[in-house]
Amino acid sequence: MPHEPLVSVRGLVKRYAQRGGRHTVDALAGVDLDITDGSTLALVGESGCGKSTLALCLAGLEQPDAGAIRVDGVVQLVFQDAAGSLNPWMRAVDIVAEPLVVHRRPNARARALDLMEQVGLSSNRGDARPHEFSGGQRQRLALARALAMEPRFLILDEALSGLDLSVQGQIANLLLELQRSRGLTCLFITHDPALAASVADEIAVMRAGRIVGRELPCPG
Amino acid sequence: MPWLIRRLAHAALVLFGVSVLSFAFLELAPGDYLSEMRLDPRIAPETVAALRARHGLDQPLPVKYARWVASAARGDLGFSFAYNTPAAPLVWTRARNTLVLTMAATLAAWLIAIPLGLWFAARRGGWADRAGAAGLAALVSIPDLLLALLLLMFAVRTRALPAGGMFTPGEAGILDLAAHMLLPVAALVLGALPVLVRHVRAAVAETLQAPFIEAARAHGIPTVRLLWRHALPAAANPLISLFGFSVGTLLSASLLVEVVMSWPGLGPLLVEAILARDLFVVIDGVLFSAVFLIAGNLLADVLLYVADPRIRTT
Repeated sequence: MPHEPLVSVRGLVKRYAQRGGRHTVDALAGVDLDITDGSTLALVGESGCGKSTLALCLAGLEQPDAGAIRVDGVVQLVFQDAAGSLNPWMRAVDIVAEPLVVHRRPNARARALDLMEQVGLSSNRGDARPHEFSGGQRQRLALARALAMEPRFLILDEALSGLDLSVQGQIANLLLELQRSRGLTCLFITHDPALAASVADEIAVMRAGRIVGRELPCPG
Repeated sequence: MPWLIRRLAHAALVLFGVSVLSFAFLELAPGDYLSEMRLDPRIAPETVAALRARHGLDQPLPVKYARWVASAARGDLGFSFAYNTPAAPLVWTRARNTLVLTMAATLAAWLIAIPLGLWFAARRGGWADRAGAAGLAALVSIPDLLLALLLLMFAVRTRALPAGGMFTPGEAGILDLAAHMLLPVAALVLGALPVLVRHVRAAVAETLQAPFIEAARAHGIPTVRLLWRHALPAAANPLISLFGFSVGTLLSASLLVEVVMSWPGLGPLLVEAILARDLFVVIDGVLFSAVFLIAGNLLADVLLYVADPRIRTT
């Protein structure tokens, strides 16, 4: 039975003013994209082609200049720079619990500790600060925070870049497990085609602000 | 805690330096309080000489300094020739009044500067931010002395507030003290506010560009919480250092404001003592000011240690 798209993007345009404000550059030049519910789509493309801008628009952090976005359910974004994306002044458990506290969810701390366990971090380390974790552990922490609001759609913007290969493999496995157990729909943004092939059900190629092709990953 | 011991040792070294320099500069200035007495024909030269000997003023500088240090260690900070009384209680009472004024002004200045700086930072580049920057630039260009005089003029014209002193004669309640403090505190706060607000705005505006703020936004953290719970603690380090500096700035400004507004603090006492060459009162006054300054910076260091988890674990 074919699944309905959870995410639907039509004619998305995002322009940025260049230095001086006289000229604009189209970061997104009419993006059309559907992502099937429960699947993982990898988005590949060279640097500056608009992948991260698309992620920011999908997460609601940038307002597009034209086009439409429809997402059924909560969207969460995991950034490339895990160290930078975690508040260095907060404890790990508070970082994970913060979205729950803000949205007045009960037992925020207990749920945050449970989420830490789910992503492979010991709940004993709840009081540690981000700088006390390794790069891979920080990315797990960022993932736990993203999962706190029980999203249906998870965007991973170069989330495995900068990690060494063995850690990349561990986090990629964790993502696959979480995706299956929670029925997540994922947009996996990367510039590494091999990594894209290892985690995705389908790969979309982006160039100059447009999706220029979609393909199934090569087996193996 | 070796860190605290190091800071205290550093503070002691600064106090030693300040006391030596105070003695040296006063020695360089021609004459002393007793030189004026020599001009009075009613006082016998032998009496003046006996007074000089009694207070050690006939001794060379190192001996004079060593005697003062030895007596200071026993709690005796010398003698005020002008007031004919031991200097310690005199200077301490005035220092306490200065401390009350400086602490109130420091607290008020920061309590206004933090929300205002956050508000401007959240609207950076907008019209409110630009208007605020222009207003602060205008305020910073007004000298503290002129600010104090303008406020004094306002108080005299409107009779809305007491125009000088610390208490109304016959009254010594906290409300009376608060009414008398309002004007000097306002002068000090208005003088310090532009620098503090601009620093808070700059530090928070820079932090708002940090990836973890973008990430917090992505996770639905509302703006007010983002500013107070995420951006402000992250921007706190330079502001805490500035806090120590602001104590010193407000203390210096308060000495001037006290003179203009007749606040019975160290300011008027120091001016009188310098003009009268009341040696020990000048030295004690300068030392008390140095102690406040050091205490402010020490407090800033302790706050920095408490606030930044990275400092504690490295």
